[in-house]
Amino acid sequence: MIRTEALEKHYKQKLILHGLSWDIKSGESVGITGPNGAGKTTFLKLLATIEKPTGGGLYFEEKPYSTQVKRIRKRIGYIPQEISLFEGLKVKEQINAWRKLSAQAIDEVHVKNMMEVLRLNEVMDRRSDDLSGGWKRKLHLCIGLLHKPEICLLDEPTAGIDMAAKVEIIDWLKKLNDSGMTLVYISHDWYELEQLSKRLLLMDEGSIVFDGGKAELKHLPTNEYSRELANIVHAGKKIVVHK
Amino acid sequence: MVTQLRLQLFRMMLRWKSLLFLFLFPLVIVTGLYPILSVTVSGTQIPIAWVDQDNSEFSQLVYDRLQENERLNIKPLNQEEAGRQVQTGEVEAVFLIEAGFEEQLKTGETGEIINWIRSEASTLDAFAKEKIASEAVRVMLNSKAAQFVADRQGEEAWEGTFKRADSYWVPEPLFQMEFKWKRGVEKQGGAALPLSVQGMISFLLLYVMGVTAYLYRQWFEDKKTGLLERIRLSTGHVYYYYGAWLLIQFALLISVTLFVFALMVPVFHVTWSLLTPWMLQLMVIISIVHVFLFMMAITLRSSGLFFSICASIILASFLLGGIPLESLDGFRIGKWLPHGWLFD
Repeated sequence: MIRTEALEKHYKQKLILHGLSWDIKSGESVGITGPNGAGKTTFLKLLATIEKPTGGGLYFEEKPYSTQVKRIRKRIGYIPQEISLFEGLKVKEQINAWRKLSAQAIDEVHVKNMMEVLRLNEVMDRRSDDLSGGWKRKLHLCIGLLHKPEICLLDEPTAGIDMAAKVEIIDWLKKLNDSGMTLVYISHDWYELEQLSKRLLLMDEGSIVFDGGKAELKHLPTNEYSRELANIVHAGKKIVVHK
Repeated sequence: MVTQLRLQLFRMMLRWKSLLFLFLFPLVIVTGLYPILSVTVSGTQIPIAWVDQDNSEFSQLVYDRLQENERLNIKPLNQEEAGRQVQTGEVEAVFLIEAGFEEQLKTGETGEIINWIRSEASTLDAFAKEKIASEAVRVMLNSKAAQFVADRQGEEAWEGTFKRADSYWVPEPLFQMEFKWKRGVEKQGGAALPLSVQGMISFLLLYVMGVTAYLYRQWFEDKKTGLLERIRLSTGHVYYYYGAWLLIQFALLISVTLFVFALMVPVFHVTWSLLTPWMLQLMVIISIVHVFLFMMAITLRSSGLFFSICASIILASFLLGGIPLESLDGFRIGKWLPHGWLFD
């Protein structure tokens, strides 16, 4: 569905991503992890058409991204890490505002279903600024997926929220994936990665250092990587082995 | 576009405290700066002493008219004190109106009706002398015309004729020498506005430019939080966001400008007819600045760089072109900055 070929991204003189060759099939769920500054968010932004690559190839259904940006945006839902909502609006006003702003047709059944599953109905009349981190995160996710995308790109979807809300969001994302939605997400949480994906992507210094299943992670040597990455892999192995 | 306008307007209303400050601050500045600017302006006036020994209607009339001239700082003193002050340099000159001033003017004679006492250090009193002479001639000519009519139609016609003759001197004298302005500090048309008001307008431009830059804080916040990106992804573009932003901020800046000008009318005792050309000019300059900052905000990624450039431009504009003093006229760079457009 999406394929990259020796993908590169520079910011001024700095090389952020280099030689990224990777692909994802429809209906897959891929979790990306790695140390800070590994290029994960930049990679996700490239997939979401927010950034443009400075080298290499980026293809959507085997056609270059550059020729079909509008089409891709209709089929992709990107949820940034920062909660980006209009301040001061109630939850229902927030949803209505984004519904009106959307250039795509909104499936009302899908919206209703999303709100029920995420239990947003319970806080419809509350101002989004007054909500707890977990509720805000749910609303943030809901707005990003209003147009029922086929591919969902999420940058740390459960960052900074309590365990109960985290479990709810993970369960919901799992259901979406089961119903056919492709998921690509960034996470530092091995519980989330373990629950949500069969396939994991490990990035470090702008490159992919591991792309495979959970079982293969057990055999990944850690001594040839930076201490930070080695710690991440070590923690991951513990959870995977214990499973 | 309507949705964006409503959303942006709603977000602006949420910051009602900032909005209130936006209008209250100039209120405090206008009322607070008035005494300071008045003192500054009076410091640039020519001090002269006025000794009135005639104490007549005519001498009072000349005095009142001279008082209206903002280039003169007239002190009514007795002869002794006036003599002392001209020696110490506190006043540039003394103008002594001797008894019989009114009677002499009524006869149409102008010889030795005012004594002019000055010291060797006096330099600027010639301007005052010309002004006093012109006012005395004005009174004398009106009086002569009134006397001419009174001789034929009776004394009751004197006052009416005097007033009628005087009306030919306002707003401009009927007959006057026309000087062609070639080069210098003051331009034609703009000189009528008191310096204190020009100073206030200069502060206002500084303030509004600062506010314009400050308003972009929200813009960069939207960039940082990803709201702008989310709008782009949802709607396919951000043109409506930009459009709504430009319109609302522009309306806000124009409202602040109008508010300050409306304040200046009663505080500085100036008329709308004098202020309107300046106000329109200021609005055009604010629009240009707003559009320039808008283009800069689109181009620049870093908010730090944006605000640094804004601060440099605003400060340079005010310091090099914003103070209406002759001594700063030499800074040619000021002409390329907003304050320079206003005063040059």
